[in-house]
Amino acid sequence: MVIKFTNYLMKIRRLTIVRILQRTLLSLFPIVLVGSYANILSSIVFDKMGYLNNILYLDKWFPFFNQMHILFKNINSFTIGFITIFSTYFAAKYTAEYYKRQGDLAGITAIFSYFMLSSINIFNFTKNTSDILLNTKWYGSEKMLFGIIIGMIIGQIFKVNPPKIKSNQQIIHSAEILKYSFKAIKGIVLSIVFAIGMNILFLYLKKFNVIDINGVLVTNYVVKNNIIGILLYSVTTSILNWMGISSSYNEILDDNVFMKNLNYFIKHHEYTNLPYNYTISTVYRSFGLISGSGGVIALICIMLLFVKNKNFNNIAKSTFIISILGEYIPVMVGIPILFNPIFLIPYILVPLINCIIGMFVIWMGILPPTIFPLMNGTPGVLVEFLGTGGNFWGLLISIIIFIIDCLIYLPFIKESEEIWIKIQKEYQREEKNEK
Amino acid sequence: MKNKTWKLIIMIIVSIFIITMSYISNKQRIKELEVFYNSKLSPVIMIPGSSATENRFDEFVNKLNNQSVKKHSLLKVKAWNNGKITYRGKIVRGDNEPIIVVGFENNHDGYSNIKKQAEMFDTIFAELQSKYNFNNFKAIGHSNGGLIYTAFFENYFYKYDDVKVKKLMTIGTPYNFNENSIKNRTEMLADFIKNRNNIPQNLIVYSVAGTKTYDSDGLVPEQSVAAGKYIYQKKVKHYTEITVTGSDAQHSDLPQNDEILSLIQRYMLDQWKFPTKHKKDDLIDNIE
Repeated sequence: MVIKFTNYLMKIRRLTIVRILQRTLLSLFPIVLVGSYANILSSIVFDKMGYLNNILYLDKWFPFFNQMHILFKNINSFTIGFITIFSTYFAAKYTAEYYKRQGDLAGITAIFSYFMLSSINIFNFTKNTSDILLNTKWYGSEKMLFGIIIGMIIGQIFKVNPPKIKSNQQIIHSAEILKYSFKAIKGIVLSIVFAIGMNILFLYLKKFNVIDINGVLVTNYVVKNNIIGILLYSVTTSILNWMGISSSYNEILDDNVFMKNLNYFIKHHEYTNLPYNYTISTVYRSFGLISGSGGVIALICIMLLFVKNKNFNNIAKSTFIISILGEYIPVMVGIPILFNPIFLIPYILVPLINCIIGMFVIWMGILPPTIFPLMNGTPGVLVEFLGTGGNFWGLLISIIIFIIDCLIYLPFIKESEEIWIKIQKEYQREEKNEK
Repeated sequence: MKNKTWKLIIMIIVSIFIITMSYISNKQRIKELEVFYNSKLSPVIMIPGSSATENRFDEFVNKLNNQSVKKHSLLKVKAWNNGKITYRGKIVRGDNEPIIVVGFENNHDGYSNIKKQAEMFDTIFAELQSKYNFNNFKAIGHSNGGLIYTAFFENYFYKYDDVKVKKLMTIGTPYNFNENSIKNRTEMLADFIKNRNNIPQNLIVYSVAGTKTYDSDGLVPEQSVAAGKYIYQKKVKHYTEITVTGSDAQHSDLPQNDEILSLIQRYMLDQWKFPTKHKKDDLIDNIE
């Protein structure tokens, strides 16, 4: 049965779309990595509510503390804040090149098509002329998947251009460049038409509000101490994150419940009769996220320990610390875990099992639920420990859960390494055949 | 092999260091949090009217303390034009409901002065907050004091998201200055109405009007006090208008008026009962 599963996964990996997606993600990796480091410096090191700031007391002595915070926030805005634009470039480039069309021009076309498509008032329908044409809310990491899809579509549109006979490397002289670029005009014009059409579509779709699944879950089920609601929340969050759609953090909706717990504890100084025992912060944040979102920290640990493949190793090394501090985008993009069917099962399973263990532990009274608010970027393993005011059993149980998560990921990583080796051999065979 | 074991040892040492530092700083933060939330302090902050000083409510506080078992300490704060802030009196230890009176060197009339006074009050409020760490308070404003409070709640209070204002009482406050009719709206009233969405929605507001004649308290027309409803009604949790008549119902006598004193005792102050057996938490249990 395992062999059937492996063959099935190989088939998926060979699909054009998946190949292009992988290339796009891997090309984005360095940008995402730098942006994530900037984000960590901005919101965890140089932030009053940051975890690293609180253990090093940086705000007491570091000069230019506030300026550093703003500087790194801006660096993050210009890298990850524009990641959709970069991803749409790569997606269009690789798609067009796959069909032997002008990849770089397709990329540029995708960029300005995306600008047009996401623009607020390309027809100036709104009377407010102070609206800027660039809708920067659409350029961040929440829309990355959408950007990749648009890029792939633009790449496909470029198929209308006459096919090139020569490959990319042979273009040197200006005359050749002109011939090469001029042939792309059909594709460019068609892309513009497509972008404007999508813009009109979105103008009409604005009337229908987008349903936020997780938001509905939280407000209707989870808040009222509902166990099934929390487990459902864990599963849907995992699936959505695996697809690259991270909804705005729903813990804010949990805030009311959180405050009631906190006030109760401060008044009575005991845990036995807390108003809400099972909430997103006491179960999902404290246990579900022990190994990071979807258990990626466990994945990285296993990779560092057992995988000898250089590529995987490098990515694991460079994303280890930032994943511990809560920045999961680089590791999702680098391995990649996004849309990678091999890792879908453990990605859903790990937080789910953690939540179940957590609920059991709270129900049995072994550990108190977390009550105190935590700093930005507190490592998952320490959440239960610090959130209960320093319960050492919490630290121990968190470490045990982390080890369990590593064991869950172990078979999948071995599998993924095997598949990677097989696919590399196939690619080499393909290239030999082409030549 | 040696390299690997060294790396492992370093990692373990670093992890232990981080865990201990996290534990220490976490404990400290929790203590601060508990101090803030445990702050049973719930002061009554009063602002006098125009041409009045921070001594305006001395007689009121004396009467209040004479009539009740619980004694309220009096702290007087003065904002000088050069930016200085001076204090007189103190908050007695164990007093959960002190009365803080905030006066200004510039206590003149006029909308531009009201705006300046509101800004000065914001500075004082921030200082009081950081000194005494209270998380809720009650507000009383006499005459222009009520205008200063309205301007403060509309323009400055949003900054203090940890502090709640439970109740506001304005006594003889001319929301429309000296205008007799609501049809002539002053610039100040128009601004107050325009920005009323910023007023905290959970606030309970009492507007007290004094009377000397049938339509004024000798200084402020009744219509001007009544104009407050256009600001507060339907914006806050409850808005109640009370008219006080009889002796001491003239504008300047209002702070000493017995009727108003009993209104303040009933509606504004925390209801205090005799302590029960548990000495430690009695004040928490007995406060509403």
